[in-house]
Amino acid sequence: MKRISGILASALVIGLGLITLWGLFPGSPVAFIATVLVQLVVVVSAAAVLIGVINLLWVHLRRVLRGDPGWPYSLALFFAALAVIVIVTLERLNLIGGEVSLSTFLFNAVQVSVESALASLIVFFLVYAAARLFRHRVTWSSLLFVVTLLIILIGWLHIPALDFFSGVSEWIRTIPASAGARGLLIGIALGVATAGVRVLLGQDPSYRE
Amino acid sequence: MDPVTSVFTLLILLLTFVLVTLGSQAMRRQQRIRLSLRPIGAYQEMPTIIGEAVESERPIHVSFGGSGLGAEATVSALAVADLLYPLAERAAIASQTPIISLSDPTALGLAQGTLIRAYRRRDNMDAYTSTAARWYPNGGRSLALAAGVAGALADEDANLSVVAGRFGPEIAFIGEQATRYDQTFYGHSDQLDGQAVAWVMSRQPLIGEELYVAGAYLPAQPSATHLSQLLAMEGLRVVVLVALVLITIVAFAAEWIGLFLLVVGIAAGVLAVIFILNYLRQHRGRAT
Repeated sequence: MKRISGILASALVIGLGLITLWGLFPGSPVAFIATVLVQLVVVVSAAAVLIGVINLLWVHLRRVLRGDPGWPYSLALFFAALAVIVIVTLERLNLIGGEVSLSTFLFNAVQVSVESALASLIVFFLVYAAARLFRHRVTWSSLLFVVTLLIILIGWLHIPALDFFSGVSEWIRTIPASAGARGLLIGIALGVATAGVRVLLGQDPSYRE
Repeated sequence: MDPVTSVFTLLILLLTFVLVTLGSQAMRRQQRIRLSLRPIGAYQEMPTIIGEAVESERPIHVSFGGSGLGAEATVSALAVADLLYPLAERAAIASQTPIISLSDPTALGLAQGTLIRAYRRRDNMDAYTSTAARWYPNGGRSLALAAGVAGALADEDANLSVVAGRFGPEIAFIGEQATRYDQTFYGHSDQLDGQAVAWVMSRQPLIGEELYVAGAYLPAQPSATHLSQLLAMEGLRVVVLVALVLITIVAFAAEWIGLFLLVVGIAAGVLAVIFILNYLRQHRGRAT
């Protein structure tokens, strides 16, 4: 029985995968089937968000019930999530409302401002990490990284006396950095192509076992 | 897709298909083939660190980032699942369940399915908990995920943190927290800015396509399919390299035909001199 379900799953994946792929090519006769399949994915994704919310609430409720370290934060998250769900439901039922909805106000006041504050901290973490790079691995590549970083930072200053660094910085960004980035992207594309073909061949274990 | 891109895509897919199929068949028929894989530091270290985690009863953490099923990052989500399975299988003998974090809810089922497979394989389903895979809501960036995971890593005292998939520079939060709490951190991203930050913060770098070959490196006995995927990738890499060199030569020749002929002439002359000198040396050796 397990073997039959594995074969069926593989056949389904291969068939639907090939149809979707074929549908992407111009003038394909199966384009409409591919569109329906892609739309089906959107519906599944929407259902997955609901499962995600349940997962989030359950994980944090469990932490509170077990008294895990940091449980007060989980409690705050649990009640905040419930409050937002209640507010959005009341708004949709037109029981509360105004020029600016309360849920949008809360999102902008809490989520956006906290994310902006976090994003502004990233640069400090990065500079600290670059300085710490030498502590656990001093290699030619890390040395090259720090020298390049310094040249780029000095180049950004646009001081007439340091005009030379500005030129070098520009050259680094347009030639070696650009070439390296393209190399990296080509590598990722090759990985994606081979892994994708492996899945299309029905060889991925995630749905076969 | 325009017609030219379609033709190239089709050619690359056909070539990949042929390489993966042939490689897989060859691996299955010739069981004695032993491939010597290029060492990847991160994959060499991970099994040992998981052993330490099991002994010290500390969990491991694997993150899918923003990768999920059904969108651009589908293959990267599957690649992270490939990475997760051998790690979870090693950690499944312990009572501590791994922590799996993700910000795309479509990856939730994939993560839980992968964990269940690993625990079933070890026959230790009693230790599995459904809350091991956790969804963190995402905004424009995965900042909420990064901040949430950073807090969870500190609270639950993870031993190893492997963060791969789709990440931006916010991966720095997780890396920083891992370093602060003496946790081993390996980062990877299919986004350039995230990859740059991950390279700086990781104990050993995982770069570009290296994520997609985890299935060939981490298991004690990798499957023929994973090895054939690795071989296909190497084959495609050679094809791309040759194509790049040829295109460069043709472009250079078209632009600077005189200089090109001079360079070719000099190269031919040097090769001819080397050949004559070698011939004379061998001839003299035989005569004496």
